Amino acid sequence: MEALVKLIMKLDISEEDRLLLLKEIKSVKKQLEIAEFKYLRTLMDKNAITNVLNNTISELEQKKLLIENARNEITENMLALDEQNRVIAIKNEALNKTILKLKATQNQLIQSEKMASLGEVTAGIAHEIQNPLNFVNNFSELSKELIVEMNEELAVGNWQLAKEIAGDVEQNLEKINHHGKRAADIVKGMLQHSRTSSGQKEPTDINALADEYLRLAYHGLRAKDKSFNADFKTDFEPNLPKINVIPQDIGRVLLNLINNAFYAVTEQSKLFQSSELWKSYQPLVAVSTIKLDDRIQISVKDNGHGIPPNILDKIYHPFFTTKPTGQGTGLGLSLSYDIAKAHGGELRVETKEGEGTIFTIEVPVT
Amino acid sequence: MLAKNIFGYQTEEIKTKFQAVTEDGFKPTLAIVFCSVVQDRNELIAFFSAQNVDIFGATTAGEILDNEVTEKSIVVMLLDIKKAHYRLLMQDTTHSSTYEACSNLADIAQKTYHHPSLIVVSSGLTIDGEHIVKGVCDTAPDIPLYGGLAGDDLTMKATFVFSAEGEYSNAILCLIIDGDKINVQGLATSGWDSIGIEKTITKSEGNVVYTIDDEPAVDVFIKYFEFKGYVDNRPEVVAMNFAQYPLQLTKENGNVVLRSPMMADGENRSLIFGGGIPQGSKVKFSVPPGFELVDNTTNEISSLKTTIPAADAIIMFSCKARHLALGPMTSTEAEQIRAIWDKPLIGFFTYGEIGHSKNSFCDFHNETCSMVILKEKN
Repeated sequence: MEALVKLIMKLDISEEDRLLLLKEIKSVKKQLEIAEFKYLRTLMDKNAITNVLNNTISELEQKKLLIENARNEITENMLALDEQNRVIAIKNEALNKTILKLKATQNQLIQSEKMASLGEVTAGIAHEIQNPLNFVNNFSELSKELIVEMNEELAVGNWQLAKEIAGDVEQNLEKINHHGKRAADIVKGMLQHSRTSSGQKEPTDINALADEYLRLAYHGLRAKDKSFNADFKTDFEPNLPKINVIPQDIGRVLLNLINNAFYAVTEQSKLFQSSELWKSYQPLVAVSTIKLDDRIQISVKDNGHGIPPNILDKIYHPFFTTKPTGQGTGLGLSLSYDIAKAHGGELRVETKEGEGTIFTIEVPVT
Repeated sequence: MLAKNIFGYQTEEIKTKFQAVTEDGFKPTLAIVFCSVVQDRNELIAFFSAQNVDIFGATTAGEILDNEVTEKSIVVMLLDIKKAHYRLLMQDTTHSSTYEACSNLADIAQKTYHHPSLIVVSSGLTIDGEHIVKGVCDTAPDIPLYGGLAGDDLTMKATFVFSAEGEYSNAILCLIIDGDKINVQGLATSGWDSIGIEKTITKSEGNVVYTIDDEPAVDVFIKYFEFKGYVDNRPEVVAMNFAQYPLQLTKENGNVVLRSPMMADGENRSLIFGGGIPQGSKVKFSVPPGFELVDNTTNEISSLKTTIPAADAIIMFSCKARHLALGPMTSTEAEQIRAIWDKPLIGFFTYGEIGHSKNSFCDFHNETCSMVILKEKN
């Protein structure tokens, strides 16, 4: 380029042309510089960009590999989980079968509990049936004699007297019918008690229910054990409304509680037999009902030996019993508790060792 | 306001040309002087002080005057700006923090004029330009702020700013302009493109980055650019080779800025950048744009014409990395930008720029061309 400039300086041309030439050469020189620079920079950038992209690609590939590894690991874990799930499913099935078996056993136990309590009241029921049967027998024999008498009067043509005797017979037959029905009711109650609960709630007179089961229990115990000696009393709220309950279930709760109460006072009596206290001890079971705002409270109170504090938290446990082997299933209070809960109510206990126990069931009115 | 440019490779040349341009009665009050570190600044200070002309000076990594880009030279813009319309302040930061110094500057600026504008040049190789922006903006968020960090021809030994008070290797020189008298507008443009995947700064302190994705910063650059010429304890080698490949950083306020590696520490293999990169931030590599950059920059800066249709003088703070990336085209760029207003242009290649890019707040940048346009109001 410098040589070119020297050459131009030597040329025999006008100064104006010389300047023009020099300017053009300068411009060409700059364009050449730019072109050269562009070439070099393009080369450099090409390398840099290629390197960065290559590195980025290998980095991305590494990341991809990591992701694939992680995915494989996840897949393996999932397979392991599936296997675990399968094992769990098998175990679950086995557990479900066991639960079904247990439920069946439980139902059997409930049934035997019913039958056991039924056994306890059989004697009471027999006593209860005995009364109407006596009436039926007596009145039917009396009626038989009256009919003989009536026939004699008819034979002598004494119509008026025969008619009067016929009236008596009719009255007797009504009485027989009444007592027969009573006996039938008692048997029906007994059957209901032993039957599997229908689960149907119906308006129930709680006072009547409590009274019936109190007497069944009392007479049952009396019949079984001649030495049994206890008093009972009732204190029923007179205007107790009928409430919607499953009568067999609530009946069973009452029977359980009343039987337990009688058992407690009997045990206490036995304990006092050898001491002077025997004379002053009056075994007593009291059943009372009371209406609160929206609930009915039924209490069974005894003056027995009370429940020792160390077992108080176990009394509702299934199969827990303090009675000698063969005398209690240990399901009574447990079932009673469940029944109270199933009615939206509750079962409570207050006890003082040596003084007695009060069990209270609370059931909502609606 | 009249502006006249003079150029020289020696102070004597400047003295002669000064006499020539003032022969017609032109009485400059302020000289903007950008020169290479090879030039004797004290001689220049003595000369202009003798002429009763204030000096706003900085050393460079290359000088720009009108259509020309030069090295190892002196460029001067003489302005007959009224003394009441500007104020020069030198804040030595040897014994105080950059942040405090700049906060102080902003405070003084607010007390001097109702609507001040700031143009700053700063010396100090390890200075974090971000602290300049933060110091000013925390004190006076609405003050327009432009400027650049002084250079030293990539020798990475020391940079200087200078005024009639003398020259300082750790200082901020500030030109406060009365915005009610002189319209000051500016814009910073970049054009660098990000490349590759996002990386995380795993350890950093201010503008020193120790690890990127838990790898030493120097090693990451060497690996990514497969750079074979790395020599420990030769920081200028890093600046020469990596400065064109800055990290693109998205800041918390949404501003996207570029950060050029300036120096490497051979011992702990950290890189010192031209601006702060907070630990935990996400960055990407970036590469210089294509050669259309020159036209794009010109177009973007042309948009300033709507806010400042006419100009008296143009100042250009252009990143040294742009010089490396654009080579001889930087003069074409200067030529095109000068032609927009057709007025004297002065500038230099910096180690960092201050200004706001399109649609963002004022920030500290690398790899940008930060323009300032001045026009005296009637």
